Amino acid sequence: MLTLRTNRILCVTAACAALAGLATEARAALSSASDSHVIFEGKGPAGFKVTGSTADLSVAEGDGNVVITVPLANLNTGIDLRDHHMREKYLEVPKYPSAVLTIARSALRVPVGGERVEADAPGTLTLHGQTHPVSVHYDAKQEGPAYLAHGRFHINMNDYGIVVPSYLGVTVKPDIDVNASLHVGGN
Amino acid sequence: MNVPRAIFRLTAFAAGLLISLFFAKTATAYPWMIRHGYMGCATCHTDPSGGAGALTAYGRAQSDLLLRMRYGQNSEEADKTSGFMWGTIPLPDELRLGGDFREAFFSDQPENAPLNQQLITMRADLYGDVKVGRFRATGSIGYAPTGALGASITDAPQENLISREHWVGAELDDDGAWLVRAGRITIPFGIRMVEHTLWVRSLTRTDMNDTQTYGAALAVTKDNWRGEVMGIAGNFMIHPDAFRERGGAGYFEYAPTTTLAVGVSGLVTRATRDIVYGVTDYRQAYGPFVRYAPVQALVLMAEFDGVFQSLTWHGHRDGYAGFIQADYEPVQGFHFMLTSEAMNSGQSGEPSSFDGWVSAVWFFAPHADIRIDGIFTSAGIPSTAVSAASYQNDSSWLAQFHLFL
Repeated sequence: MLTLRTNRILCVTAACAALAGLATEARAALSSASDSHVIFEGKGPAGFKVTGSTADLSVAEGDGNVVITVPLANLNTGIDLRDHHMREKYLEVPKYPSAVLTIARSALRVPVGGERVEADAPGTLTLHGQTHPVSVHYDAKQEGPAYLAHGRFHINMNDYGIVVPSYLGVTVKPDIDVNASLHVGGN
Repeated sequence: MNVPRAIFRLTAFAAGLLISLFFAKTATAYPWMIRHGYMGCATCHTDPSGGAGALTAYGRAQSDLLLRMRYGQNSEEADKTSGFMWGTIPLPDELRLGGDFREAFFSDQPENAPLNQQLITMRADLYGDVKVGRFRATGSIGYAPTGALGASITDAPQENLISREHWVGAELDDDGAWLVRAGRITIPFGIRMVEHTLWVRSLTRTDMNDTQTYGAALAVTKDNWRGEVMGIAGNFMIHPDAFRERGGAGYFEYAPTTTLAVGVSGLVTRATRDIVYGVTDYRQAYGPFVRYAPVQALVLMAEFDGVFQSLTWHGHRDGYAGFIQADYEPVQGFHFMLTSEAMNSGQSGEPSSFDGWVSAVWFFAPHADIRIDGIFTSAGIPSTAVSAASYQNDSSWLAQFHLFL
């Protein structure tokens, strides 16, 4: 059964990226995220597309880094059997339960007032036990005490040692797109 | 008042309505698979726009994993019985074979008319698809005790050998996203669905029963959009040539999400002697369609088409047909559907017709399903020189057993 474990990880990563976009150099540490939604998209032959999502993520800040952690246990694609395959066979969630995106806070531009910020930030993604650099495109806008942020980035499953899902002639391409949106507060 | 013209109108109208009601034949197209995020058809069907014909290996697996009732038994892999002939005959990857058998009991009670009941062999077809590299070839052969005359190989009024589709083609890219083909092809227009007698299909003559025609087509299926355009050369299975419609048709569908798809269709044809009206007919049809699954258990579909005809000696006829359907699947393998239709063929003095369907389908076993439909119709009868417009009410029931190989 075609699995989307890899997609889950991407979702998480996207969420992390979106959260990272809310980090500010001059403000207090970022705190909890709400209304988060991370979506990954994998593509296959003849228009085949898989979309998965999760709303689970947490944000922490320390040592000059914004660290966004997304548990993978609830990443889902809408088909239970596919989700199970993705978790157990491809993403190996029992061994690698989370995806972690780390971005230096100094690399982030923070919106002030009503401005909208859009930029790219370098970070590292730890997924399936491997860590690689990623470039996250994000936009953020302040809404009261919190920020509304969107982020997206792209990864290749092969880079993270994830077996490319393939089932009965339908193979997911290793290139995965991740998008995330969320509200995050500053203390 | 011209009485012969009035009689012509009534006859043509009645013929169209009877054809759609009495020769209901269904096929296997399940556009509500969008509830599982499958917005396109090419992953599961060898026809890139979906519908009847051979399934891919992936499509067979999904028929087992997502289509049929599982009775609480979940599996990570499709059962071996999902294969051709329930997995008893392994096939090489290059060959996709199938068969489709659908039998029905039809009971029709027109208002103030005798009850009509009959057994109908809706479909008894075998089909195959060959894929060697990028080369493709598809063919079907079947038997039709009644109807399907537009796809008949033999020329009897009944009990004909038929071939609904046969074409050769080539995939233009490694992903199989682009397919060019030529031969007898289902006209790309609107939503392909099992209820092929819906007025949107019969009025536009774009069903999966026997309105396939010869031509060349280019189909493309991408991750969030798909489409197909076809140049129509005519249905060479009907004679003489004057009856053959020529022109073009196509559709384009865009899916902003994996559970929402919106599209438009268009068709333009000309026949020297229209097979229904017997005169030169320039026929056009255009309209939007939509498929949406707000939650997995519910799929909403709708299509509306305007049909515009220019008939020699009979003026212009501008009509429409539309439907909306809700498909509710409370448990995998059981569907409950409500469908509502409206239609006006555009005859002068014709009131619009309306109907409603109440349907249930149970995919109770691998390769098998049963279905029951209750169809309640209020058919508009055009006014004539001697009578005002009126309505003919009709209640019909259709019970079907379907098996595919």
